[in-house]
This record gives sequence, C-alpha cells and structure tokens, in this order.
Amino acid sequence: MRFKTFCGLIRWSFEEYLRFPMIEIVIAIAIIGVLTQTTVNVYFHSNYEILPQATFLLFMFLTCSICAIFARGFARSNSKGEDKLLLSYPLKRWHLFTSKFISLFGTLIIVFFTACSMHIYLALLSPFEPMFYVGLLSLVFQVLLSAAVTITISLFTKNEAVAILSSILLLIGVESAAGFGNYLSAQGRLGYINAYFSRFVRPDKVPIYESLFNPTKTGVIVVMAIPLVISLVLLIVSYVYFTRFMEID
Amino acid sequence: MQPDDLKMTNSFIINTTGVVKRFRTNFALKGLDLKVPKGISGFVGRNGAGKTTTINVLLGLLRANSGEATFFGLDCWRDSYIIKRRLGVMHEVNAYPSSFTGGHFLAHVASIYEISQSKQRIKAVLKDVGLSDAANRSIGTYSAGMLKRLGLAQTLLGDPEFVILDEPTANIDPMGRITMLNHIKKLYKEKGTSFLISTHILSDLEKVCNWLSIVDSGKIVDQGDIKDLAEKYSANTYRIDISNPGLFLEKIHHVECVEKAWIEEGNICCKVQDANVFYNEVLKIATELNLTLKGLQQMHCTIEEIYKATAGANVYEI
Repeated sequence: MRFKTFCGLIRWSFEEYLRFPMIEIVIAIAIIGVLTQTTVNVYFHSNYEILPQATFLLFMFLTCSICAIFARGFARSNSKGEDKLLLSYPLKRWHLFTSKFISLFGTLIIVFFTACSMHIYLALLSPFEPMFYVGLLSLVFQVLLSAAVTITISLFTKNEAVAILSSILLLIGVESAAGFGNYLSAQGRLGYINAYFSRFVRPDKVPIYESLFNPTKTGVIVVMAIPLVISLVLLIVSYVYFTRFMEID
Repeated sequence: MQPDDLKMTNSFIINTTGVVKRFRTNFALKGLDLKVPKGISGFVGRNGAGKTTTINVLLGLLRANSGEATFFGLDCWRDSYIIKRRLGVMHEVNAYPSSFTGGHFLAHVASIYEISQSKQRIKAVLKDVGLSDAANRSIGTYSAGMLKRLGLAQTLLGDPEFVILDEPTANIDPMGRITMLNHIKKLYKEKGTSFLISTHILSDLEKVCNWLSIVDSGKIVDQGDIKDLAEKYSANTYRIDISNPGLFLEKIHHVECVEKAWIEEGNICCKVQDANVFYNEVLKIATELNLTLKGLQQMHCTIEEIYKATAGANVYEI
C-alpha cells in the first residue's frame, strides 16, 4: 500500500468517525475550566497558578470524551459494519488499526491542546508560560492511557455502550481509589509533574501541594513511565488481537 | 486426492472443504463444501442457513474452526489481502459513511484500489449504475435502491475478477432489479467478471445464474450447473392437464409407480418411478373415468422447485 493511500485512510477515519461537535466541546471545556476556579485569591500576577488546577478539571472531560470517541471508532464501527466494509477492500488489518488510532489520537490531542490554549487566553496568560507546556505534556500521557484502555475494552466487548461505561468506570474508579496524593491516579500524576517542574520554572510560587509529593527526578520519570508502559502494553495487546485474531461479523 | 478431484478443484474459483464455523455453542457452518466456478453463481438458503457466515469466511473476516477454504486457490484467512485485490464485495447491510457524498466515498474507495485516472473511472461507474445525478448528494439522503446501486458501484470500481453480492436486489424497485441483473449479465459477457449472488429472490437467479449452490443448516445440500440440477430434480416429474383434476387425483394416488401426486395451478403433478408404466396408467384412468386428457408433459424444474426439493424439507409449514 502506498503512503498516499494510507494517508487517505487516515483522512477517511477523520471524516467518518469524528462527526462529534468538536468546536462546542473545545469551547465548553475551556469555559468550564476557567469559570470553576476559585477566583477570590487570583490576581493578575498569580493567574498561572490556576493552570494546574484547570488541568485537573480537564480530567473528567478528558476521560468522558476519550472514552466516547475511541469507543465510537473501535466498537461502534465494528457493530455497525464499517470495519466489515473497510476490510472487504484490499486493506491490511494493521492499516485500519493504525489509521484509526492516528486519526482519533491526533484529533483528541488537537481538541485538548486547543482547550488548554483557550484557557490560557481566558486566564490572561502568555502562551509562553512554561507551565502551560508542562500541563500539555501531562495531558498527552492521560489521553494515551485513556485511549489505550478504551481501545482494549472496545475491541473485546464490540459494544459501544458497554465500552464507554466500562472505560469511564474503570478510569474514574482507579482515580477515586488511588486519590490525589498517589501517582497511580491521573490527578496525582498531574500534580506530581506540576510540582516537580514548578521548582525550576517558578521557584517563587511553588504549588501548595508540593510538600505532599516532595517530587524527585526519579519520581517524575516513574510518574511519566507508568501511563506510558500501561498504554503500550494495552495497545500492543489490542493491536495483536485486532490484526491476528479478531473476527468481524 | 484423485486426478479427477484435482481437476475439479482447480476449475473452481471458490472451494471449501468441510468448513466448520462455531460461535460459542452454536454451529453456523457444519462441514460446508462449497464449490463455485467461473460464471454467475447463485447462493441460496433460508435465513440463518449460513450464507453470510460463508461469505465472511471467504473474505477472511471470520476464521473457520476447521476445514479448508480457498479463493483463487489461496487460503481465505491467511491470504485475504491478496484475494481482496481481485475481488469486489457488496454486503447486505449498508455501512457507507452517511456524511460523505456518493462521489467522495467512491474517491476514497478508488484511492484504496490505487486506481489511476480515478475521476474518469468514478464518473463511468456512476453512469453505469445510474447514479450520476446523485454523485454530489450526501449518502445519508439516498433511498434504499440508490444505496444498493452505490454498493454495486463501489464493488465494480476496482475492476474485479470476481464479485460477491449479498442480497443485491433487496429493496430495489422492479425496474431497478431488471437493470441491475442486466448489468451483471453484461459484465460477465463483456469482461468475464464472475459473480456469487446470495439472495432470497429465486426468480432473479433464474434470469442470470448458470450455477447454483443451496445451503441449509450450515451444509451444502446440493450444487451444480443449473441445467443439470433442473434435469436431476425434474426427472420423472410430470404435469397432466385433465378435465376433472380432483377426481383424477383420487385415482392416480393408488397407482403403484406414483410416489407423490398433487394439484398445482389446476394441473396434476406426479413424481413417478417408471415413466412407461405411468403413461399407460394415466391413459387407462382417463378412459375409465371418461375424462379429457388435454396434455401430459415432463415438468421443467425452476430454481424454486429445485430449492423446495432440496432445502424444502425445512420449509415452514403454514
């Protein structure tokens, strides 16, 4: 298969699977992210402090949106016969899996980066604020983990509703069980990364939860490696299952 | 394998031997031996007989639990990519992207088949299936018949050697059906494209097919050249046109060589063991009862009658 054809397949996925109201989602996330801040102690010079808090708030939206979009791309396309249609053409299964993953992951990254960027604009911060990029980095890990969990559940259940519910319950369940102070939770990881980088970027304004984590260099590597390793394992399992064993009926 | 068997195997485009497909405890295919030669073939069976499962196995979408399935002599699961380069498929269920226009969708399909000069090809195919005017309309606004025609268009776009059509004429108006069947015949005659048509509309097959495979409960109950099958199932079945069929039926039932007798469209139909004895008995009874014998002829078997005689044992009793 030519590279051009593969790009065409990615474009197909973009156009076909993503009929979600993306612009509305982006605006809603950004507005809610800002409006739900405690504004009492926020001054112009300290606005950057609300960035990590806003990133935490994105977690719920992030989880729900990712689960819905990836379940749509992997479970619904199977049950509605879209996979069957595509695999009746001369396409290899890995073409289909990879193109779906690239298009969905790419779109979600764009959506959440845009939401974050709007948030920075609404909070009157400069786009050159380094903590903004730390927030984006944390989001990439969380998008990847949520996507991997949803893809795996979608492929094995082949049911959109079950995939969405199971993924959301699992991700939020782990979140609640682990709690904020633990880097097994997304919020814990985001807090840890933020606390670690704040020391270098804004040593004068270290977050109040910095003492909760007492972040170290090894710790921050582990925190970043946890979602990466889990995601990779789940994605490899899903890829092997989809390309070698999965039956499409 | 005997040399004759080998010769037969090579002459079939699709060849399955003892294919078993199980979904948990439910057996969808129970040792399917499907043979499909070059030409236009019909694939019939009642709902749940295993037609769609068979097509899915042939396309490498499902993996057979046991048995062997080959397409162009290649393994259906392992070599599905190579097989699909030479194949066009129209599924029963429409899953075309409803937000795309017909032309845009076909452009995507053309890019998958890596068709050069795709614009001209798409235009030609749309014209062939009568969708030129709807090329810029969203697929979501297409009628059921238009969707079927779009299905045929995407199937033919890659100029395939073999085409699988699952219920191609369902939901199409009479003129649309005639056009589609004529198109299938034309493609076979002009380009030599072979077809496997899975359908419940037996009269459609009658018009185009030269081979028939009948599946029931996951097994092929009979298959072969339609003429051979018609001969096989019409042998020793006769139609008698007589003045009082009811009275005649009572008598003919008691004749020893008559296996089965029934009335169909005002005529007596009889399945007999010995044709010569039967002729004599018919003349004898007609003379005895003073009835006028207007006609006596061997029945020509239609696909419907072949189907009734094979899978018909399981036809629902009303």
